[in-house]
Formats: sequence, structure tokens, C-alpha cells
Amino acid sequence: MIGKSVFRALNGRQEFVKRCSKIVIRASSTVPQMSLPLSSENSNPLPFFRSKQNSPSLHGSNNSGQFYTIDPSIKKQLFLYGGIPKTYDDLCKTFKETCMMIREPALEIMDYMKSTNFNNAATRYCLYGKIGTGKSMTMAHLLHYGFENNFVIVHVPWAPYWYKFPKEYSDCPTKEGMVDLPLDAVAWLIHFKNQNSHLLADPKLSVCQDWEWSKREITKKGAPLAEIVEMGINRVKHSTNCIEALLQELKQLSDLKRCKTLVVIDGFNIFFSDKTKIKTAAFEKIPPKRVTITSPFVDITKQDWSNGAVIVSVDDLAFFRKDERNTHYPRGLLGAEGFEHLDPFIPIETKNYSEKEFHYCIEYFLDRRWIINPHAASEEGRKELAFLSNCNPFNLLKVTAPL
Amino acid sequence: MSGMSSLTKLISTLARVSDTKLVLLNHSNVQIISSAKMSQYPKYFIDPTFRNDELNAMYETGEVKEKALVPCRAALTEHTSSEFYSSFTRKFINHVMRKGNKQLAREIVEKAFEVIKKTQIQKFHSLPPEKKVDFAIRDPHELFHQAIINVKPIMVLTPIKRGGVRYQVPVPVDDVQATILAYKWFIEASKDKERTVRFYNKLAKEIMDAANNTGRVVKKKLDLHKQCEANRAYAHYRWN
Repeated sequence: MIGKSVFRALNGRQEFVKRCSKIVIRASSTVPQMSLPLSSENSNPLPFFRSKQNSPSLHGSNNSGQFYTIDPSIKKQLFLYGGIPKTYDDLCKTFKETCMMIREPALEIMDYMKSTNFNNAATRYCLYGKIGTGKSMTMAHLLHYGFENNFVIVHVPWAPYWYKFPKEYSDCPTKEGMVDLPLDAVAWLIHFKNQNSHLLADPKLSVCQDWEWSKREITKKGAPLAEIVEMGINRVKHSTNCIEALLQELKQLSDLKRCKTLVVIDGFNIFFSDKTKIKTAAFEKIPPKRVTITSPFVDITKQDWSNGAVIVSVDDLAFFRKDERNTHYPRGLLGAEGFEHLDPFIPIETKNYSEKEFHYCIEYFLDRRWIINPHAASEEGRKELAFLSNCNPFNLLKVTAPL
Repeated sequence: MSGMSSLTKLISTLARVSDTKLVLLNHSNVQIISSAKMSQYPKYFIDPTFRNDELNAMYETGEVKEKALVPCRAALTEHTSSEFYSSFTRKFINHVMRKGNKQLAREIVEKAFEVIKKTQIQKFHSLPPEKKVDFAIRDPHELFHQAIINVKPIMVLTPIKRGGVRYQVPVPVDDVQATILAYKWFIEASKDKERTVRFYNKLAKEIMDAANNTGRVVKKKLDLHKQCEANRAYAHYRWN
């Protein structure tokens, strides 16, 4: 971390620059930016900041810091209803390509997953870190890995959306004191169906028990799992019940080794908070505990099933502005109840860019013409960018935006 | 003798001050006229030097020793030694600012530049590889500079009263005033929009149009020039 800049006019030499020289960054070339050849996936040979490996299963520590490209068809299947943070998605649309940096937290989790004994209970990984350090991006990377390795993906792109911007809420007819989010549940089922369309066709994924939705609507044992999903999408009234049934079925199917499940939930700490914007019919504000959609996702993060993995992220941004806890550690964000539930888990920290990652990121921005200002490519300019953004990935995006 | 030399020293220092004029009445008397209109500082205070290259130059020539003895005004918040400093843009941000909210004004103008950049990059990346070589992505600051040059008027109409009648007389306008007019017109044009359109989006569009010598702001300048041309019969009223 670079110290504070001190401008001593009468001393003459810029102390600011001296302290920034802790980061030893050499500009890759003094060639004017316009004449830099544009790289893409097809150019041969690839520049040093791009990875030849576009398959996450083959990513290793030698790829650390490099950008790999996600195929547009895979992006459409996995991330159509969320998963890539909006600001970064905007950038991908501008660059006409979706590239992600391969960073240590993702490599670490993939490494663990490759060497896990899936006969044991599902391991829980908790991603934590300061705002803008890449928790959601790591999850997107791991989603791609799970997709490649034929995991059934249970993905909640950003859980707080349900509690902060609910589409519609109504009192639950069956459970007293609980409130339903019918449209959000349907939206999630559509997202699930889109991500797992290639696996739902598999005959092995068949229902393990009878599910009764109403007197006339029953899903019998042995029916394909896709039937529960379709039931939830078509019959809005039963959508939350279908989610509950679906997730319980997935737990059982994973135990029976008929599939393997990867649960990815961003903003998990909202499930254990006190506040939502949802009200009962009597205008009483309720906590997430009393919303029906919470319990299936809290349930699937328990350790009572095997043959899968649970990746969860905790973020201070998940809370409402006034309730922010100003900490990025899991214990502080989950609270006592949440920690008891999630313990034991493997905590994985996401950090600001290292020197190497910062260098690769700037090179990628220059390549994509995101940084046009000629001063930014120089050594002095890079030092200033590192200082202004503190090498925080999100801040670097913001700082380089007007340049 | 010593009095003369100290006076000449004072004159030579003050001569470098940007906002004072020296009128030599005779060989020993000098009247100092300041052209700065309002300032919390006395007239002999010099402007601060905050750019690295200027500072280094001062050290090399030894000018720093003289300047260190002259009282100096405080540097403004916008006077940074940043690599990305543009005095031109900073002035514009000041004009955009309302109620002293410099942060918001800066954010708006920076967002406008971001939008300019994004539209160019998107176009660039949509082109086939052969055409990419010819397409130049221009720095938003450079585009803005070009836009201002295209929009600055050479003449304006001023009301001059002669014989009880107010005539609109074409009058040349100096560079600073022309730039200020240009800034004002950009801001006015960007404000004139639908409720749902963001100011920075409109501003970005206006800047890009003006840099191409098209759009409503350039039209406003051309209309003004036409009116000046039409009123050239009254031009002599400037001197009566």
C-alpha cells in the first residue's frame, strides 16, 4: 500500500513519485498507443496478458493474472439472468468480448474441488473481501468451472435483490406469518432451467418421492426433475414450493450419486439479517427468516448431503445502507446465527490486485483501447493510477473510465 | 542608485506576474495597473506553480530563488500535479458546477467523457480487422478541445445606445470571453433535453457533434455570426 502523497514545493523533488516507486512497473513499450496491434482470441501469438486456456478446468497458477475469454454461447446460458457484475458486463459489451482475469481465489477453490472426496459432506467455501476485490467475478469463474464439469448449478446471482427490490410479495396461504415472493421464485426457476438445460434432459435426474402441490396436481416419483421446474414456472402460486422441492430433490439425488450439485450464492449474509423491504398484508415489516424463499437456500447450504460443493460470498453491500457493518470478515457479516449455520467452512479472501495483476490489467485496458490518454501508458501515469485506485479492481475501472 | 536597482528588481518580478500591467510614466516612475477584477489577495501576489515540468524548469534556471521571496497565492483544489490534469477541462467543470458542488460537476463531465470514449470503442470493436487500422479513437479531452475551437465565436452582438435607440452592434470578442461563451452554450444545449435523458449523455453527444462541426451548438455560433454580418451597418456605432 502506498503511503500518503506529500507535495513539498520548495524541496522540489516529488515525494509522491518516490513513494509510488514501491510499485516497480515498467511500461511495456514506448510505442504510441494507436500503433499497438490489437489482440484478440484469434491473434497468433497471444500477448502475455491473455491465456490460451479458455477452459477453467485447465487453469493453473501459471495462468494467474491472465485474461481468458468466455464463449458468447456459454455466457448466454450461464449469465443471461445475472452473474457478471453490471459494471463489468457494460465493459464486456463495449469491448465486444467477455474476458475475465484468472486470479488466485478462484484457482485455490478449483484446486480444492479437484482434490475433494465427494463421498464426504458438501464442503462450504466462503468468499470474503473488501468491496470491489472480485468476489462476484470469482463466483462467475467458478460457475463456468462447474458448468464444464457437469455440476447441476444452483445459482443465486445476488440474494439481496429479493429483499431490497422484490417484484411482488403476498402473504403465504399455507404457512402462517410467512410472505411469498411468487414472481421472484418464478424468475429464479427460469434462471435455473436456463443454466441446467443440458442436464435436465438426463434421465438419471428423476424425482425421488411424490410431491403434492394441490389436490389435483401431483408430481409422482420417477418423473423427470424438469417437471418440477416447469410446474413452478407455469403455476406461479406453487413456485416457492417447487423451489423447496427441487432443492430437496437435488440433495437426495446428489447423495444417490445421480448428479453432483454446485451451490453458488452471492450475498449470503442477507439471509441472516434483520431487515427487508417486504411487508405483510398488515403492513408489518419482516426479516428474511419470514420470507418463504429464504429457507430452501439456507437449507441447501447445510452439511447433510454429499457429492457437491457450496460456494457462498459475504458482502457488506448486501445489507441496507444504514445497516452496513463496516467489516468484510465473515464472522462480522454473518452474525452469530449465520456463523453457527455456516461453520465449519473454508474462508477464501479476495484481495486487491498484486503488482503483476495490475500490470496485466492495465495492458488489457490499453489493448482494448479503454485507456486512451497517452499519459496513462507512461510509467508516471501507471504509478498515479495505482495510487488513485489503491490497486482495487473496481476502483481501477472507475478511475480509468474518463481517461 | 540602490533605490533604482531595487525598483528595477521589483519591476522585473512584477513584470512576470500575469495579472498586472506596468505603465512606465518616465524613467523612474512606474504606475502599476492591475487588470484582475476582484481578488482576496493584494495585487503583487503571484500565481502558484504546481506542474512538475514547470517546477523542474524553475529549478534548472534558478528562477525558484527569486520566486521563493515573492508572496504566492494558495493553489486551488483543482490545481493538481496529476498526469491527467487538463486546465481546459477544469475550467469547464467550474462552469458546470452549481452551488459549489465541484464533486458532482467533475463526475458529470468525467461521465460525459466516458460516454464519448465508450461510443468510439464500441464502434471500433464492431469493425472488421482491416478497417480497424484506419479508425482513430480520439481522446475525449482532445475532442472537447476541438469542439470548443469549433464553437468559439469571433464576433458577438452588444447593445449600444445611440440617439435613444439600442442597436445590436457586432463587436469582436477576445479569446477568454469567447471560450466562456462556448462553455455556456454547451451547458445550455445539454440542459435542453427530455426528463429521462441524463445530462452527461446529452453533453457527450453535443461534444461529439461539435467536434465534427455539426450539431446545435455550432449552429448557434453560425447563427450569431450571420446576425453580426446582417448588422454590419451599425458597426461604426462602436466608436460613435
